[in-house]
Amino acid sequence: MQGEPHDALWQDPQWNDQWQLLTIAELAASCGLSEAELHELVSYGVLVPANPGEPQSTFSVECVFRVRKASRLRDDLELDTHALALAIRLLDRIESLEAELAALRARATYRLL
Amino acid sequence: MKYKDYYAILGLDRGAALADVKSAYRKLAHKYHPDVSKDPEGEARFKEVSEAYQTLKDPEKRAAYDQLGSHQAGQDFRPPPDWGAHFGNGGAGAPSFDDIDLADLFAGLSGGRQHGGRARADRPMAGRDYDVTAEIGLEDAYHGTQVDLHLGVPDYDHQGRIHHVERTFKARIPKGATSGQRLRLRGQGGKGRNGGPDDDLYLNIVLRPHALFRVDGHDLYLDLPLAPWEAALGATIEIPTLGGPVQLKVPPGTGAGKKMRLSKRGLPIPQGGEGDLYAVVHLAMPADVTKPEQALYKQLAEASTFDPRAHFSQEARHAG
Repeated sequence: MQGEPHDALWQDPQWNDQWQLLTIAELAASCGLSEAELHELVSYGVLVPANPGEPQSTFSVECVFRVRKASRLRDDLELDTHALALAIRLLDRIESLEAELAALRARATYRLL
Repeated sequence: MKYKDYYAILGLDRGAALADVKSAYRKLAHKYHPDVSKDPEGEARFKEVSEAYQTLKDPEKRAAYDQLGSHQAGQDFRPPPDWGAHFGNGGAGAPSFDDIDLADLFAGLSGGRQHGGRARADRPMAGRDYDVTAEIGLEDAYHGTQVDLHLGVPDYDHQGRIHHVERTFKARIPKGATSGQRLRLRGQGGKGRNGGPDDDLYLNIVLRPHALFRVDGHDLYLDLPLAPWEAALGATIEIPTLGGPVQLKVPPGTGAGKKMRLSKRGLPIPQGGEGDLYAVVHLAMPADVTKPEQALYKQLAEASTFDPRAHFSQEARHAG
């Protein structure tokens, strides 16, 4: 924007580590989905608590990224929670297949061109 | 203010029904949504399409947009003098439209809902989180690096109008970052509204492909071409690693496909330790074999009893 000074900030980013856990309320606050929608995603099995079976569910930080993606898809593609769960499941599968392909390519004896 | 032709962006006539607006948007959103599409232009295209849809799906905003008249896309224009009075900016006098983006103008319309459609304008609201992808080289991942990130984040002026300001962040990436790793910069995303909390900036690390090394987690793979005589007789070979060259002893009789592990020569692991480097042997043949070399190969062929395809005849016997 014209005339606005650019901020030049030195940041020391915090690593999201997999041991950091969030409550469902924290997850809802950071992702833009309601707690009810998060419970529904849990019931469809696309969001798995770090402590399944316990009364107060907690979630790994990795869930933040999944749920943020879910939130974008819900808003931008106007999906209901059921369609959203299916979309997430399929995107997860694509992601894991791509990761597997990348690992196989790395380990391949000869470079696959 | 630059004019954007929202109808053309969605491929619609100006008289298109709401159902057509929805259907055109959905078709384009499926194609370009950055979470779904692999199209490198996807994100930019989706932004345009989404902006057009946010305005045209809302009857009030669409009416306001139509009142702006029809201009060439990209053409500089000013809204008609009484435009603001009709559409929610009443009493604000004649606001300056020079530095406002068309999208921000419509986002600021009364009754206009924020993206996501839930928040009321007067309620403290969190800013919008940002996802940024930083592509870094393997050397940078090995040593740690600093990246400059440029992004347009929304800001609100004293009249509560939204502006986009470009901000530059310097983010230090610790050594050992690998593809898919995420960093969070607290409170550096969108600015909260009405006293709401500022939001976070999420940084997604992607490693740029390297000319020599392939990456699997924190392990690295390197193709190691050997001349036939090096494979046969063994050799001490200088191997490039991210930490500088090292000497690798190749034992005599090393076959193609053998993986030789160089322990702790991979990427550092942030929690401690290092991945390994694997040198994967393959046999390289010179394209041109000179006469004296041919004579030596012939001599070798005569002296050797080695049959590389012994298992062929064995398997054939089993099959028979």
